[in-house]
Amino acid sequence: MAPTCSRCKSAESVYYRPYSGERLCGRCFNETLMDRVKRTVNRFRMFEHDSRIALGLSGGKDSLTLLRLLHELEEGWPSSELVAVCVDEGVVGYRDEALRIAERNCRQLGVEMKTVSFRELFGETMDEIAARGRELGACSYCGVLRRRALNTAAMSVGANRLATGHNLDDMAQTVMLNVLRGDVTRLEGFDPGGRELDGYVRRVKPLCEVPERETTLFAYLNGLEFQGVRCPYAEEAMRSDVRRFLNQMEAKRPGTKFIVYNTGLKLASSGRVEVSGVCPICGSVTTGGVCRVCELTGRAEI
Amino acid sequence: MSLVGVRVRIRVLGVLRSALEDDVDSLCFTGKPTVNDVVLRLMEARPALRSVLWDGAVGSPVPNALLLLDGVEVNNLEGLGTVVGDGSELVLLSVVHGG
Repeated sequence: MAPTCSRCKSAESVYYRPYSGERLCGRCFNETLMDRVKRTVNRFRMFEHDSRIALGLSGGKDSLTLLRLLHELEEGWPSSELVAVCVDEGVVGYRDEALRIAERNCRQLGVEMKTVSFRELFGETMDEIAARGRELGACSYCGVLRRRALNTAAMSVGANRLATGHNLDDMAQTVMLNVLRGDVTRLEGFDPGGRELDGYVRRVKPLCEVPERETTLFAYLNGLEFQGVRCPYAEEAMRSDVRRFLNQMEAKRPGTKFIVYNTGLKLASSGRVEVSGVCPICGSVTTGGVCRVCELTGRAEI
Repeated sequence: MSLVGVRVRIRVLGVLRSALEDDVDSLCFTGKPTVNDVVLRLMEARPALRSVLWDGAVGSPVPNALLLLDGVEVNNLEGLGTVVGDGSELVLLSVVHGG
């Protein structure tokens, strides 16, 4: 028999949280997750009482968890609105399933959903991009194009915030990757509360202090549907190595991911992003010269 | 005389599902199997699970896989050494980036 919940002291616990030493029942686990997201939202001043929030919904466990939590949170702000924005990258099998899951969840909660596709925005699907000769891994293309697509979708629904499902693991991996690549200046944009930039909807990451294990457990305990198909392009070698390393460190030394994440915040606060120009091809705001989307889609060579 | 066996129901969720023919399986044991015994036997029966569930470097399930025995995460019990009773259900959930 499992020990009693260390928070409510009555129900049987279902989860041991190694970094805090708590043993939590399902109800207390859900409440502590919601409390943490509320604290994060307040700490980084992510929303105004009347924000129109576009939620980047992939249909995966993180964004579905965020949808549930923000939907509940947003009910306490009568002047705010929540709209789900989805990107169809064009990965046959994988994305079709995810979009169906996303749609079902939006319907259940009565949340408006808007979908844009790589095909309509960039003229190619991710499968087509992956099939042609390329210098970088598929994730490098997909990540850049997805960010642009989400921004376009968020702007098209009139949102002034774009909330994404990045969790603590994603954040800690980003810090480590930038350190290992010797490029900590890229952490200038690490702030989970985002920045106001012309041409961009402010991006916020309300799950940035929730470990991936816990978004997964939340999804399980709350009966959310899990994707059964893995992205065929999922293996990005360096991130996978960093993920494995951080997971092993976390298992041996609970709290490691929080320490790495907090280090990222300190590094980010010491820098300043220079937005110095406009892409001469597509007109997007850039840090100088041709933007990354035009570089990767080959528009720069046209 | 009849042999007393322990039947364990196994449910896999998420991308692990593709490694099984169905999302539910069951295995029979004699004696007092632990969670670790169940995982090892399952991977013998379904080798495709190994790549997503097993960390060869440390010789145990990947650290951020979630294993729930009768609804309780196994680290809240005795970890991989938790004894599994007859009729128990073990849920395996691999924490996959973005999934």
